[in-house]
Amino acid sequence: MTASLRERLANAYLEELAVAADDLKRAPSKEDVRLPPVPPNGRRAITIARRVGGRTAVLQLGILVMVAALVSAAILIPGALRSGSDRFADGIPRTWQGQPVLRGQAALDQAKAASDESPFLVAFWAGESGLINCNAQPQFDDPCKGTSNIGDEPGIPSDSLGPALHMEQATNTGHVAPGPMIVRVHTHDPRALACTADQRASCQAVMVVDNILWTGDQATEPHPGTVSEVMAAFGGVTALRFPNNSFLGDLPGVPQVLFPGPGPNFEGAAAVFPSPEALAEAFPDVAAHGESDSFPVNSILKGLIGGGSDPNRGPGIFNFKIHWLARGNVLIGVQYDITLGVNADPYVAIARKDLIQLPN
Amino acid sequence: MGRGRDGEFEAALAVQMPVLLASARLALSNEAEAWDVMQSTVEVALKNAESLREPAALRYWLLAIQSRQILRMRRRARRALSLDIAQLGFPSSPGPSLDGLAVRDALALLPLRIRTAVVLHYMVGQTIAEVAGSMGVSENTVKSQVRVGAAKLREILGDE
Repeated sequence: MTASLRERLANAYLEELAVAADDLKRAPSKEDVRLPPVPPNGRRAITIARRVGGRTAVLQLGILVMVAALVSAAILIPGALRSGSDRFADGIPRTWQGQPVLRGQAALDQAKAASDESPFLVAFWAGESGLINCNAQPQFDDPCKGTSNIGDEPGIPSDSLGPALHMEQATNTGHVAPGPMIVRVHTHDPRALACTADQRASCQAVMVVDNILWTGDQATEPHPGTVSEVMAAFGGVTALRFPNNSFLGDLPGVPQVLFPGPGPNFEGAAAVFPSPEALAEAFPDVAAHGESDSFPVNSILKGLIGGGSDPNRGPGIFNFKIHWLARGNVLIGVQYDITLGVNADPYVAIARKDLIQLPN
Repeated sequence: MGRGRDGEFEAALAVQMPVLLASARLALSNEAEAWDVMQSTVEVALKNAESLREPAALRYWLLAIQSRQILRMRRRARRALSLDIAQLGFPSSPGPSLDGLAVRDALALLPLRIRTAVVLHYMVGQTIAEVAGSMGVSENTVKSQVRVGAAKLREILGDE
């Protein structure tokens, strides 16, 4: 950022701060800023009954889809396909068109050891938002040279791989859903010569993506629960349509389903991990206990709470915490009204009921 | 940090309210929603004051609550405000400078998440790590967002 722009932003903020302080002095007393009354239980119950009633057909469809998918999964995805010697444990191929596919530290080591632009292949798990890059004209000495929402394992953002990888917007043409990815990269990009002398070595080690070669297949499809099953069971919609909603935080390579559909007001999200093992790796405490009211150890949400109005729940202002549930390969983060508590909150109850329909 | 120490918490909260309102206005570009989200943030803070263990982190804690609310409430239907905006007699004086207006207009053209990251990092002065914690995303995501945001602002404002 230029000094000029930084100064203009700072000045604009100081102006806004002064205006805000002045406005607050003249605001009505805090007695006028009180919580609206809690809506009567009857109203809340009616709202939920309508919603549940409206979803009956969806739930039935969900069961049918689930059965059909279980049958097809048993036929189409033999265990050997996931665990064969030509694949890593998470289903990503060890080689692609005869070339080795590097993962994690091995990719970083190769990038550091490389002495020229010779290409090599790297695989990782990527969230769609991670493919938003810093700038079409990369500045290799810029701290924002990396690619965000990248993980060597699904659902676990990598602090080392993302910053070492640069993907141009033009490379990521079109929509790429969250999942695994094999890319061809090169180091020693000519643009690294523009870096300052003290930064040049790290600039030359940046892995610049040339092409996206592979974005998953049957071996990396979520199982035993699929995205379509979760959408059907929860009456949810894909989070890609509502990128500003974040109940679970960034989970690289893991599709998220917001519920209840069709939005725009949601109560939670279901993350569909590629396997129960992957979920257990990313969120061991939730996977072990099935439910948790504490933020998981690997969550990047840091235990924050939120609040505000919620048309799904009727009039008034609500204060929320997140309750976490897990079954099979599906992780749920559902907000609950802290006044009601976890076990009395209607959306936690619905999430439990919907989740139990999914395979374990 | 409890609420029982002779209004200590409320006093500390009052000091931070201009920061909350200013950042909400810049992030939302909507006067009613800015007051709405600030009010909700204060309500949440008052209800959960006991959970703030480190008083020095009050501003970060409040901005984190507010940021999450901005990102999650933005798409919800506006509720009827118990705070009567009309009583405030906007606009207040003095008004913003022409350049301040240009910056605000430019900010309004950024996507909400990028705008929020830019406001928190470049204007409020939070570190990348603090913004990441506030928004519930990784530090790499925030770095990308502020970089994209700054590039777009440069383009819109003709800043070289």
